[in-house]
Amino acid sequence: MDANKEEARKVFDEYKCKGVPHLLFVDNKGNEVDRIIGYLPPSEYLARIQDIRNNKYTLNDYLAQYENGNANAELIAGIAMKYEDRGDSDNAKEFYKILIKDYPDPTSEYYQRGTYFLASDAFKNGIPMALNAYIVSFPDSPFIEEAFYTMAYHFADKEMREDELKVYAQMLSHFPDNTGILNSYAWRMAEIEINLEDALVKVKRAVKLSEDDPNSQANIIDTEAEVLWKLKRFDAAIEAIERAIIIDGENQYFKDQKEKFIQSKKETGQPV
Amino acid sequence: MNTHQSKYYLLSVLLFMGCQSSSYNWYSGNFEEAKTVVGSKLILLDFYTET
Repeated sequence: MDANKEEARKVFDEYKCKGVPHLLFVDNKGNEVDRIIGYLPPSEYLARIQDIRNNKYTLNDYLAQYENGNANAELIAGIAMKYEDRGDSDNAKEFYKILIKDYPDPTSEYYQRGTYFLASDAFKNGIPMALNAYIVSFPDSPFIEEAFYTMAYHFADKEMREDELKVYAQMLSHFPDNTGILNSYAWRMAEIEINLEDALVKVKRAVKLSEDDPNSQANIIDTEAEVLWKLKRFDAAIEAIERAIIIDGENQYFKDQKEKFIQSKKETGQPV
Repeated sequence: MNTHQSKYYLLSVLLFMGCQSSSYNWYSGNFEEAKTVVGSKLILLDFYTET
């Protein structure tokens, strides 16, 4: 069935889901059996569903194996990740601690994920240096970008503007050619209407760097247009969003953005 | 556009059938009602973006 958004939101929050697409498998008592987060190729998707139906590679399956003495790094990390997916930080933390203590291999992605999780948890629980210490300690970790975003979003939520801007400065210094980070920074600056000229420089760089990926580029051009609009450069904003529309002519959001810019121009009394 | 965070979600429920050759039966009630009729099958809640 297609439920209304309010019911969906309630269930989504009840099961501590984060991000979509998100498939949740529950039994008749509402107990979670497993979940699939994000997109999977069809063959992999079907295999995962069949495994869940057979209670294979689920949290209960992993816990049964662990209780039977079949502990290894992969299994313990698997349990921790299942708890993490469920938003059960306490149990995730417990198993990540076991993993780090019993299988201390800093080159292992499981180990890196565990240390990132613990640092992130410490940061969210009031140890401000925890994630910066993680970034310094594990400079080659695949979780560095996520660590920066965790800090930036946290400071944004708490309206700690100065700290948020410092994190973006660190991110941009660490990842100067990352189009996603350049775009996120520019969009955020447009939202809070700070550093707009710098945001424009950064987003134009992201547009140039994303030339080989038109779909991604269209979204970044939209950010460029939004920044220009905030700068009240309405003609430039309209020109930019038209470039995005040329790439993705079906995108209603881009068309709505164009209308927004035209309306703003009209309100200033300029001919359209 | 900031594509890093998703904004919308909708809910679909289907009763997950127990035999290998089955197809999906979409359920037309809400989640609470689905739990009362599902028996030993699983319920699949599908959250996805509106756009």
